[in-house]
Amino acid sequence: MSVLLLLHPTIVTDEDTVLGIKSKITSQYPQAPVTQHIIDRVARENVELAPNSFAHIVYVNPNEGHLALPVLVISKLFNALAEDGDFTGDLPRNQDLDALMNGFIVKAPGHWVKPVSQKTLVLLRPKSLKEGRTAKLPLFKKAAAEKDTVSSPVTLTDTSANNTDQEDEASMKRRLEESKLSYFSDDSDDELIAEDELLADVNDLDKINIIVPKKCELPDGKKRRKACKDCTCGLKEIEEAAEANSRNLQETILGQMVQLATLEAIEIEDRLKKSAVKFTEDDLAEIDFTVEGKTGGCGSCALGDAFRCDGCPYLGLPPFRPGEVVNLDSFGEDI
Amino acid sequence: MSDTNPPPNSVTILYGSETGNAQDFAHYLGRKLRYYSLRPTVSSLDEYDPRKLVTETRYLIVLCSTTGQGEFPRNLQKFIKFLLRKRLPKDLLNHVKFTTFGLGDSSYPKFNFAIKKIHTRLLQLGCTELSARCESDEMSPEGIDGYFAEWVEKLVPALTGQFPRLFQIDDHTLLPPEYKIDVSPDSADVASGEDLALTRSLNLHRGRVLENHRITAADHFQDVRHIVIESDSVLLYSPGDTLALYPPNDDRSVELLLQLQPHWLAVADKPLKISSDVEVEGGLISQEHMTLRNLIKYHLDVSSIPRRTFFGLLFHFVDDSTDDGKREKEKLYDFSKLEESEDLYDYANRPRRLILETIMEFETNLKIPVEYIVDLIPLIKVRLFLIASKPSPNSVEIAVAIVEYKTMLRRIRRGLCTKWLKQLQPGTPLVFSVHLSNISFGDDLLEKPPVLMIAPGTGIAPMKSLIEKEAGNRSLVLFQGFRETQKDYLFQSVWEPLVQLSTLQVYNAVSREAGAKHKYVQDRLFAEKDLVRSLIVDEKAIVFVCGSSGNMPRQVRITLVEILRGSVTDPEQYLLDMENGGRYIQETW
Repeated sequence: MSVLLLLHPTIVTDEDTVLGIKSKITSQYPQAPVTQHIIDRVARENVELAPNSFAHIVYVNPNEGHLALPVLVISKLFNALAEDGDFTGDLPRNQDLDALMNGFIVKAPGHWVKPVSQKTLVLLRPKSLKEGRTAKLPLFKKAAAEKDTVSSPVTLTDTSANNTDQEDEASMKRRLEESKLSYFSDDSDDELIAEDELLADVNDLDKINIIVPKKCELPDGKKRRKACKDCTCGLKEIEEAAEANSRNLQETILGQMVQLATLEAIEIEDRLKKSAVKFTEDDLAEIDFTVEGKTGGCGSCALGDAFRCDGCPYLGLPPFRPGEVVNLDSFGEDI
Repeated sequence: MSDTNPPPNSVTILYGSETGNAQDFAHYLGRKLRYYSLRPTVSSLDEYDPRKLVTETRYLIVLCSTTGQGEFPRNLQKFIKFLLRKRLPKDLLNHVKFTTFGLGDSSYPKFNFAIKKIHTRLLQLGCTELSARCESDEMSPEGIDGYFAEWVEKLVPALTGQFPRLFQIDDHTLLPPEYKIDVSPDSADVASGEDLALTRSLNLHRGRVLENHRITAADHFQDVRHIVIESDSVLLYSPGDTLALYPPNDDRSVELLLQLQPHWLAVADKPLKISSDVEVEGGLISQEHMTLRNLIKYHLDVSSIPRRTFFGLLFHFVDDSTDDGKREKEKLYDFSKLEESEDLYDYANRPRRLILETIMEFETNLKIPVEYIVDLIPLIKVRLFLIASKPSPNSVEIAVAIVEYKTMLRRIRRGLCTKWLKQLQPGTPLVFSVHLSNISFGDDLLEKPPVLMIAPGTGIAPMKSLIEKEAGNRSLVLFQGFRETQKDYLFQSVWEPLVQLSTLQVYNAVSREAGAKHKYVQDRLFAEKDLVRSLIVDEKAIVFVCGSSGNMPRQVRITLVEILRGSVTDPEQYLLDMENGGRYIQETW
């Protein structure tokens, strides 16, 4: 397997250094043929790197701070590397994420590895993949089961021509693309299909291959509690009642807080010690939530709505912490 | 090599969005795919150069909502025009695999028609289906979320299966921001300008508020505003068209948010540069005034309800070195999962919690890097209002119900735009635009057909425009709904002289008044069934229904079917035909 030596343009004028690097590589990877490119030429696509063809890529960049590698270059180099191949040398230190996004594993700073696909690839290949891939190439064939529509009278491709032998795929592809692109010209005079014509086929669409969500139920068997926009089944009333209830509970809680605060204030005055209203764990536990079966015991009430239980009397109130000053003023504020 | 991937940027996600829902879903999907090391392009349909469908796209995902009459949303008219060209060959896109997701509302008869049309056309052009398509229904108990979850569950494996070598990135890894934002902390503060909305795109109209007054009684539960705007440039609109407004946040909310993130406050007035293209209708405020504070004020919707994509990014910014932090991070992460839709709904949507409040609740361990702010907080969307005035080159009117309500959160919920509108003083300058609709009232016909108008509440706005324009030119019959004559009978004084001249007939339905014979517009329609039948069947009247969505339009429809039964052979089909012929127009929200 060969080695690719990538050079930053600032170093190539210094022949001795380059020779030094090359001999170092040869001693490190004996017998491996070394290909050498200036990185700019890779970036500008002046050179084509065959995929999966290098076991090692080494980058030499004498510049302090290692200038950033364009994402495009990273992805090209990834493709050029063979599986389990590595990319080392003067790699930028702040582009680990770009490396990751392009499939590399960052073993250590400056040491990126292309993983072996069997272990890491997402194994979701459908059986039909092979077929899919050939279909992607320009086959110049009429799609088989096409509906005959008035709207699209022509095809770009010609089935009679036997053109698979000599022409290489790339140029065929380019030519097909070009012919396709000719239809995108800014020709506003073009005749348009009436939108309603499309609807003639709509009924066919409905019957096949359409996703419907699992019914109203959540995985845990709980029904979704959201009432429809124009609910007539009574769920909306239940929701409204729940909301009214939660407001009542809030009032109770706030009333109790004020009460507690007053009590404590008296205590404070007595002791002439503390200067603010504070809740201790004990205080919180003592609050009677007035709702059967509800206690403050779950410990989540103080944390804010995101953590509160369904039906928690504190729902809708800001988070607070035992021992922290509770800012009652902020409750009613309008943003 | 047979084992190489198609390019990771060959995935294209396009959306057609009216209210921003489709856009959020598109970005959610885009981010999800980035964690599979794909680099999908996410774009609105119209911003996307269709040529790229040939040069770049191999996998196409389209999400699109449907507006009132089964029309395409505004942001894809251009794209559709290309797609509908007759001479396109039927293998034009045979290199593309695709799927579609429709956002619809089954209370409209033309449910999800936009996406049906797109899907059909893409099939005609040679696209093949990548995974099953989906038409979501806002009216269903599962909500659009429920449909989306199912669709994504099928789509992701189908798509990633096309790429033999994909590397999944753990979703706890923070990806680089999609929008590039640079603050220059060492520069001098940018001088605070006046109303910077005026520095937005030159394509917007500029003008000022002429009048802004309440047209419901002071003791009525709802504040409805009649707002008159004077324009500096010539306006061209007709009944059924909409006015687009560009509301900013109020300064207090902005200040509050900055204080919640003190490191933001420190650089709030420094020059800020956004080097990525930000797609926002009406453009950004001018670069010379761009600061973090102004970016937030004019463009970031801090009083919107946080969505899943918001939590999917927010949790990364929680410092989890403490137990509290760890717990908070986990919770925010959970909210970003599709499986936790219910919890997210209960936490955010149900109480109408704001992004600002969410940040407030988690502020202790939360530090959001400035670079991520546009990725995190959605852009303020343009607000649309049906125009309430007859065509005029230099002024335009709207009638707007101010949104104010309570939930279990103790702060009163207010709509961002209506809160702004409510305090607008006469003389205040503003920017706006006019969006033309496809609605036509048969103006090109030799004899203009009568119009049967059905309008409860503020649905009256476009009726006023039509009545003012057409009174005397054709027969006009209005069925208006309100609660109490003394409180919210909108524009009564405008109708009175016209009724005296017999150029307008008015039939009311009064829902909250003792002794009122007809509560709802559909009741009144049925009571006047002979008139209604003769208008529709004999005089070929155009029916125009406007008001809140849900029950009203559906019951109006059922009532009309009943009224027509006996006079036409198939009343349901008759209404459908009316609709297809543009004779049954519904604008509901």
